This record gives sequence, C-alpha cells and structure tokens, in this order.
Amino acid sequence: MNEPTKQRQILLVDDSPEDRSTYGRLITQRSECRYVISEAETGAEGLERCRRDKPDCVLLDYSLPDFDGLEFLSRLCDARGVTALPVVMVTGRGDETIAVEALKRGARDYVSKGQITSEGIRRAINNAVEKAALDQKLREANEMLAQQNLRLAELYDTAHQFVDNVSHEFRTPLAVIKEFTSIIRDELAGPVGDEQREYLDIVANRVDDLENMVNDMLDISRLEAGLLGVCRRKCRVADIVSHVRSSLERRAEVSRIRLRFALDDGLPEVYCDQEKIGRVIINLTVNAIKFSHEGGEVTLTGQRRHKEPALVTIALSATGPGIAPEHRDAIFERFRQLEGAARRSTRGFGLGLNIANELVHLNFGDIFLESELGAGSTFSFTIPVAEPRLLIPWYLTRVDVIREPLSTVSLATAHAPAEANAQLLDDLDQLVQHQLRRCYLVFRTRSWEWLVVVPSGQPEVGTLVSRINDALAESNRNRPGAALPRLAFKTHGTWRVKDQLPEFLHVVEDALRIEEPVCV
Amino acid sequence: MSERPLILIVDDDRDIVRGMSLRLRVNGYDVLSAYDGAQGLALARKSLPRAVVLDLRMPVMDGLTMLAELRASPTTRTTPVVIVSANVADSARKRAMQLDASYFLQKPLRDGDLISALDTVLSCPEAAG
Repeated sequence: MNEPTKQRQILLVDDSPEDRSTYGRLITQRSECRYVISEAETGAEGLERCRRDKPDCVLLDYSLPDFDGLEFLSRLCDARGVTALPVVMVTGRGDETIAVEALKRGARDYVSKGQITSEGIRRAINNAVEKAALDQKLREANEMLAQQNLRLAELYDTAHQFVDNVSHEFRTPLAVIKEFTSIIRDELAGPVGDEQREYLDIVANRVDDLENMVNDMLDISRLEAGLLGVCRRKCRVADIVSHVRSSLERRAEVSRIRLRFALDDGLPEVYCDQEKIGRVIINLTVNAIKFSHEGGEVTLTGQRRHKEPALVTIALSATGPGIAPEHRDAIFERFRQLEGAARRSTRGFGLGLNIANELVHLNFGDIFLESELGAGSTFSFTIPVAEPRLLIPWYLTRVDVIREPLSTVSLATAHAPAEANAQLLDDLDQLVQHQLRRCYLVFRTRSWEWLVVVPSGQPEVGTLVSRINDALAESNRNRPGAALPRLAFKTHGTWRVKDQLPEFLHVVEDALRIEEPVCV
Repeated sequence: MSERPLILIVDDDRDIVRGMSLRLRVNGYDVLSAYDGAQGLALARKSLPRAVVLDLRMPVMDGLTMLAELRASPTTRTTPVVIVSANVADSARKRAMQLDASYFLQKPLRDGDLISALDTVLSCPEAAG
C-alpha cells in the first residue's frame, strides 16, 4: 500500500554478529521504505528490547545462547496467549517442524536460513506487520462488540425492571381512582342520579382499560425475559367468565352494545391458567366491543370441539365492519392497529391481541379469526379439556410451539398423604406449580396426586424433585401454621417421541388406572 | 368479641386507606389504620385485630417484614392477613404464602374482592384464635 513512505523498526535477535549484519543489509538494501535496525544477542536481551522499544517486527533466530526461539515466542505471549508483536522466525534449512511449531506459538511467518533474499525477507516482514495490525483491529472490534453486548444486556434488564416499576407505580393511583369511583357510584357518599352513574361507568371502564394495558405490558415484558409464569389447573370456563363478566357488561352497556354469554351446557372442565385465560377473554371482548357499531351485538360462546374432543373453543362474535383478508395475519402482531374507518380514536396501544395470542399459546391452545367485511368478525381460541387421556397426547403436539422440537418425554407421579388437610394440599399445589417451568405439564389427578410430564431439553425429573423438595423445606421453615405435607415422587421412565409414544401413553394410562380404586 | 369485627389496614397511601376504611365500615367492620409497617405492627400487637389488610411496599418497615414479625409473636401468630399490593413479583407472592398470608390481592382491587376475602377469612373457625 503506502509502504515506501513508512518507517519500520526491526529488531534482530541472533547471537551471530555476522548473521545480524547480513540480515540488516538484506533488509535495508535498495529499499524504498525506511527500516531502522536494532539488535540483540541473546533471548533475554531480545525480550527486554521488545518490552522497551516496542519494535514493529522481530526477526528471530531459532538458536540462541540462553533459550531457543520457540521459548522466546512463548515468553513473548501475553496472558491470552497472543503475541501482539509480529515475529518472523529464521529456521535452519529445511527444518519444517520448527517452522510449524513457531507458527503455532504465534510467529507470523518464517524464512529459511540460506534462502534469504532481500525481497523475500522484506515481504515476510511487511506481511507480518500488516497481519498483526489486522489482528489487532479485529481484536479491538471484538472487544467493542462484547462491551456493546454487555451494555445491551444491561439495557434490556433495565427495560424489564422499568416495566415492572411502571406497572407498580401505575397500579396505586389506578386503585385509588377505581375505589372512589365505585364509592360514589355505590352512593356511599350521597345519592347519585342516573346520568351521573353513567358517567362514573365511563370513568370505571377507562380505568379498567389502563389496568389491562399495564397488565399486557407487564406480560409482554416477562414473556420476552422468559419470566412469565403460568399456573395451569383444572377449572371451569363458567368460573373464568363469571370472574370478568361484570366489568365487561358495564363496558358494553356504556358503548350501547348488547353482550350475550352463551356457554354450552355440560361444557367439560378445562386445563389452563385461569387468570391468563380471563385476560384473553377481556382483551378479545374489549376488542370486539371497540370495533362494533353502536347497537351491535357481541356474543361469547363456549363449546367442545366436535372434531377435536380434546379442546374447548371459546369464541367472541361481533357484528361490525369486519377485517379485510390481507390484514388478518398482521392483526396478532404487536403494536398493530388497523388503519381505516374501523379505527376509532387511539384506544390501547395494540398489545391486546398480541398478548391474547401469546397467552393462548402458553395454555396449549390456538387463536383464530374469521371475518366477513361489512358483516362482522369472530375471534376464537381453544383450550384443552382437563381429561388426562386427551390432554397429554394434545400437549405432546403443542409443546414444541413454546419450546424447540421435542425428542424425548419423561413421566413422574407425585403423591402427598391422601388424608392431608385440603387447604394444605391446595397450598402444596400452588408451591409445585410455582417451581415448574412453563413447558412442563403438571396435572393434579386427585387432590393429593400429581402427574408430571417433562419434555426433553429441560432439567430431568430428579432435578425437579430436588427443587420441589428444597422449596418445600424452605416453605415449612417459614410457615407458622401446619407444615405442608411431604411429596413422594415416582419416576416412570423416558421415551423417544419419534417411535416410543405408544409405550409412553400406555404407561400414562397405567398410572391413571392403577390409582383409580384408591380414590376417596 | 365485639359485634363489628376489628380490621387493621396498613398502607402508606392515605387515599387507599381512606377508601378501604369507608368500604369496610359500610360492610359492618370496625377499622384501625396505620401508614407504615412499624406503626402497623405496634397497633396489631396492642389492639389484636381480627384480621390485617396489608400493603407491601411501605416506608420504615415493609409489609413482608411486618408479616414475619406478626408471625413471630404468639399473640398475632395466627391473625389472618390479606395482602393488598401493587407488587407483581412472584417472589413477593411466594414469600407471603410462606408466611401464611390468607390472600394476595392485586391492586387495583375488583369491586367486592376485599370484602369477600375478609368475610371468608373471618368465617373460618381457626381465624378466631
């Protein structure tokens, strides 16, 4: 490149004064570049000069009076085993083994004694210097990237921490607004007219909106950090719905939308996180109300799937503008709100449907959208039925949605003493749920018995057992009341998903059947 | 035992305390209040309320510390405690559970949640002790 204008300091380490002078002459002879030559007679002196003078390149003879050239290279290396200083090794004629070893220890190049030409030695030196400079740049770039990564990781943590704090700081004023709105509405502070009550309902609805947004934000943040816990249990759809019903009815009333609930009779119990599925219902209903015309109707239905008896479908149908086919996939994306006539004001920031989608997946379900422009839309989602013989095969098909593909699956059962107090068993259930990762399947088959399915890629059953026992011991140390009962674990084995699923399901079946007569 | 059960509310937000007190009084409870954990602990030991409604993040002494202190003294060892907090950390919930909190309610409360939690807690036979 711009070699001719450069000045390079070259250190010659060689015990023979004749050789040093030959090399010096060959290097500088008819060169357009300026080379400043310094010399050292022994290895020790050479190392000392390297430290002191920091030459641009070292020409190193293999045989030195105090130690050999390879040892010299090793001593030149820093703690990371890197030689920042470019070294060109001079080896005896045909001594390839030493040359190879020298390159391994960080020499940049070698020249063979007796075959040294002026041009050859200069090329070796210049190449060595340039290579070393490139390496140095690469190292610096790497270091910078590592630092930036660290900084990003910190920022990421800070962002999650921030969301946690914001959530906390928002909740307190929300709680106060909500409480006093309802105190006035309930006429605890004097009579309230119909119109006033209606306005208070509007306030209450908007407070609920804010609360939902805070919850969505928090869940998204935790989901990304891998911290979103999920507590799936056997529960009734009617209970989930009744939990959210009054606030949804109030909202529909203010928007002059008719809200109907039509759960099938005899709907089986489902297996899901009640709070999370409640949030899905809220988000889908609020969305349906938001995009319905005044006077429209929103209907919540719940039915067992005909084609897939392992699932219950909960659907929200709304009369309204409908959603164009090209927008249907995008609608579950984050921060997405459709532009156009359907969009009124700026309610929400587009997390609602996205988090609904994620929460449904966490509960081993799917979310669907059917829509007809000008007629309306139906959002629906599935959750599994709490029947282990249906649930477990279904779970196996779904677990790769939230984890990497499944290769093996293990089964364990846990028992507490059957005669233990019901409240303590519920507390124990809560403790077990808290200790488990979200891709495990834990099914409480009886008040005192749990079935645990562990997918591959997760800590094994043994690790799980010791984690639960540790948590149990810790809990009992701190509990003032009666201690939680001990859990006895039984592991049933591990099966390959590819070709041993029938065996696995057979063992599940046995585990379920054998305990049957003991049922109290 | 008085006819109107005595409830102690401990929360550093005075508006929250005021709103909750009004609710509880209307629903037939007597109410005492404190604005930090230390004050709450002293009042709980002195007045022996039938139940405590407890916030977590508070100055001087936080709610979990106060709960641990309640559990450590014989007169309040089994006093039912309903946590009402804006804290969403699982760790706080776990710790409260270990210390035998009866309920962990999230702020903002839904209408009626606090009353039904207290009604349940006070209808349990062991809550009387």
